[in-house]
Amino acid sequence: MNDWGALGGLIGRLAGNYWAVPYVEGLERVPGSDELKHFGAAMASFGSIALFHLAGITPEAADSPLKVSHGIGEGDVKALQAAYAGEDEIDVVVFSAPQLSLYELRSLAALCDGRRFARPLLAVTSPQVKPDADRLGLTKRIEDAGGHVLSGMCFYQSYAREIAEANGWKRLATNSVKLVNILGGYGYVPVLASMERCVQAAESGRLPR
Amino acid sequence: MIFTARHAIGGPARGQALVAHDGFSARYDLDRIRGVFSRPSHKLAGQSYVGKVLVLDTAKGGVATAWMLHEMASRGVVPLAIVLNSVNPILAQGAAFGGVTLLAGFDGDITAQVPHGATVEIDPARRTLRVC
Repeated sequence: MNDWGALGGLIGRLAGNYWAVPYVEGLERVPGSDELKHFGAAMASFGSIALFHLAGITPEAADSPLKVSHGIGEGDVKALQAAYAGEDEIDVVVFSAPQLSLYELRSLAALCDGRRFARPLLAVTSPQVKPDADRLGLTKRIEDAGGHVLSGMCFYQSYAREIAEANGWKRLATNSVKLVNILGGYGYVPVLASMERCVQAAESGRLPR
Repeated sequence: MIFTARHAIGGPARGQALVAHDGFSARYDLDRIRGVFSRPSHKLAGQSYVGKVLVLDTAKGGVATAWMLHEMASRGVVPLAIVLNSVNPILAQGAAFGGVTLLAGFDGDITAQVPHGATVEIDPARRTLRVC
């Protein structure tokens, strides 16, 4: 998921402003709905981008002359991820921004099974998804491991700086490229990792390398 | 030196310019309690924005700036004016709602033309910025 976020972040950074409309071609596969969600959220976060086209995927993508073009490869994606490699020790794990879908909560619940967290793990979802997560038992599986499923809020919009100060949190692990982009200004050392590595960090307090 | 913008909002303002070729988001870049740029990678990191004329490149980030400038103004911890090469509807809405003077859109890069620390005068009715 954070690969698509990183790609979106790179495109947002290159496009640079609200009026630029990126046209992306050369993707090796069609992203899933959650991958697109992270891709778009990171692009908007890094570049204030309101609209993008994916060749052969989004309906209005039309091949037309571009003002500027850039090439982005796997090395660029890895470089952005490396910029948020952070530290091994983790104080808190947050999945938020964008809010988690039912599919993401299902993946998270599967990763939580059989674990007991040593660090707080917060998963934020929408008021529409939360009742389904409750009904399907996903919330309970996450909470049984010591995690929290929060509904209808946004981590960084919820006094993230004050929460950090109150709890002594500094090193925050997440799979959201949007979140790592935002939280530096709030006094965190944000660390980008896959959902699986973040869950492992919640259990051991350290990010596995 | 007088520069003319394509877009202007708010009342006249005169103050010291903080200039950098970097973006602006009230959400991402600021410690809104202390009144300083707090995003470590921002070129104005550590500097107070309170009562200053921010001369920056472009609006960044999500929707929060649309209401956040108003909240900052309610506590008196707010920039005097914001001057940008390019603006988005969110920042324009935020400036109007928060009563923060805004100029945007110049011939050339405004961040390369206004000296950092200079006193500037903004006249939104004429869409001008004057370096005093």
